[in-house]
Amino acid sequence: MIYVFDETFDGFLTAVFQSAQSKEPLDSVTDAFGQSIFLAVTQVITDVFQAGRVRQFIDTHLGADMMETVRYAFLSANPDRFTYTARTLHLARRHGARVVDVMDDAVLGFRDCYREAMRETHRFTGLTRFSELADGTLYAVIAPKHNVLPPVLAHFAQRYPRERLAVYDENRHLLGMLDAGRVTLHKVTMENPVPTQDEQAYRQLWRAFFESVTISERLNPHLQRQHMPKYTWRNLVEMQQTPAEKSPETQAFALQESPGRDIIWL
Amino acid sequence: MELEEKLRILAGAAKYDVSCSSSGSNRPNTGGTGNAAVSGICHAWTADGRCVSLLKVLYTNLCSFDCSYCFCRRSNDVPRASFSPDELARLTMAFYRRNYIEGLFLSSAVAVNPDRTMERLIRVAEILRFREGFQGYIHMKAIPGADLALVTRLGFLVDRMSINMEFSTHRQLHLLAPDKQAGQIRGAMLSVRDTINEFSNLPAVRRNDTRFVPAGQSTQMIVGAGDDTDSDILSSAQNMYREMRMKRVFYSAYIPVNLPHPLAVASPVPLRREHRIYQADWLIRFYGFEAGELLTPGANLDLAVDPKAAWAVQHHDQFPVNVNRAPYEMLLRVPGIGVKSAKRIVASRRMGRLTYDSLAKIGVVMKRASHFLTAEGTRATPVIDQPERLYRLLTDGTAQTHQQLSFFDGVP
Repeated sequence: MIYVFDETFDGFLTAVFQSAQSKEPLDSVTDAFGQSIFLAVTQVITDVFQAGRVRQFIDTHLGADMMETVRYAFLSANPDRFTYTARTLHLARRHGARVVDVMDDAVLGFRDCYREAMRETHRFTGLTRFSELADGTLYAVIAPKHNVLPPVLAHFAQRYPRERLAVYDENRHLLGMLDAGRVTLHKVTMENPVPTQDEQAYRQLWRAFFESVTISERLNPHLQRQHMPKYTWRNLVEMQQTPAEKSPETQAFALQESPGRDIIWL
Repeated sequence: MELEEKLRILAGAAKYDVSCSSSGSNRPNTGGTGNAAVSGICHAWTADGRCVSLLKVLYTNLCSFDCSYCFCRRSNDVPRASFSPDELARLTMAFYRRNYIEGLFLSSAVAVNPDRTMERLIRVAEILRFREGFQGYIHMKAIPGADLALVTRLGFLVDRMSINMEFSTHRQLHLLAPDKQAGQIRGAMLSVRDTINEFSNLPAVRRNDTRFVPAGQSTQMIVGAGDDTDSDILSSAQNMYREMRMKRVFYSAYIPVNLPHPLAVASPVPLRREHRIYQADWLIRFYGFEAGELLTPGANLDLAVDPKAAWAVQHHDQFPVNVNRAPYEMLLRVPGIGVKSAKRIVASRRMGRLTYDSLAKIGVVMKRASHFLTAEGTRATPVIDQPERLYRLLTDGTAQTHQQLSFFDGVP
């Protein structure tokens, strides 16, 4: 049986609940349509009550750490992430919190998913570069492989609680905002704002620092790329040789009116 | 002088200090700017592959000392510069808000005298913490020879403090850094250790509003500027971890920046030596090894094979180990099994017997480990009784164990 849900975390938990109740074996859990017309498909309608049952199961029997782990696996870009996670949660009914040590392909796949997403989240807590816009908003663009914007933004919301923050995932066209202590997620397409003169001066200082701490006797570009893969360079101030910014006009940050969803990250 | 030029000079002068870590402190945000993450965060990697986590600069490079290994020694004719406390604090905040850095790492040349220099460092930390409300990571050097009261004052402002021991023996320090005194360096370390201890025994409620060097202290040794052996270095490092409760000892392979050198060693030290010392350091801290087990006094580490594999080859009679039975401590000693995989083996074998295949899935490097272990349904490999072959199998590619014959060798 294939379970198709609506992209939300609660929708996914509903699918986990329904597939656990069903007598039919679970083939896959997915958030996309048009998989196969020959296999039986269940269209999952998000049910807050059923999702709550799964949350409660995780919290009471598997612990808060497992909830975090499941959330990270959910954000992974691995195509089988939902199926692996659902199977792992089913196995957890028998094994409890020790399920992560079971030698099972779904569990190993689940571990890979959450590790990738966690690792990239950690990477982007370092590799995100903010620019101060004319109105004082700190704005950053990232292009992660996994959907790590929610946890990355949660990190910055803790770090800069009094700032107005905006982090844009240009791969998924998602904008996360922190404004007056409230964190929201919007589906919009953003243009890169033009940096102010002050901003360009700080970027130049940062490049100067970055150049001067390099020990030229020990160049090792391979090692550099291993830690800081090329897909991250596009948005890194220090990896831009010639500043792409042209006219130093100022531009205030205004978001088109769109309601946005509250992000609740743990 | 322009800020950019100052930054270039003072960052360039600080780059040989290897410590980059921003870990170990858990400073929550209570309304200011920033916090410190316990795991530490790297923000960029330079073209030499080292991470940039902190804004690592010298406060000044105007030095009154004349240490022969150092680029900033007073007898060198190099461009000199100094920050002002205010300027440096503003720069730190501007970089921190843009998430370029995780915090500030401030060291300094000894300008005028140690006390005067320490006061400047304290001033920078005070501006950051009290005026700017900065709650991110600060690592500062205690200047050798400074008054201990100043060292303690700085300790209440920073997350980590470090005092470089530079060399593993007094004789080396005396020869190469004639203005520094081993007794003063040791005295400062002991004082920081005791104050940390005092504050960590406070009840939790009070511990949160008075933090004294919450990320602990660290130190650095230069490898190969003098004639100390790896065994000297590792046993004094072990002493630093046990006696001084150091969080980290850093090692820096000497780069000859000044010539001529007073000791005969003027060539750059192979990076591989530094790498092997770090590997041994890890074995001491996380794998339950003693410095004395890895090296006999006066010896150096084998450059061709890592210290754990070298130990395993020497003690091949203690292998193979059965992964389904062996205690955790013994699993840790198997080449190819790290702390994570040893823990997973212990957790997973409770759920069922482990086979060769499942070990690879757990993350054990079977290419190395397979010689040293047995699992469900497999026997030991026969090489375990042939230490020479085992040694060859474990050397990494760069070692000169084979040589391609040239057709023209011996042709006159």
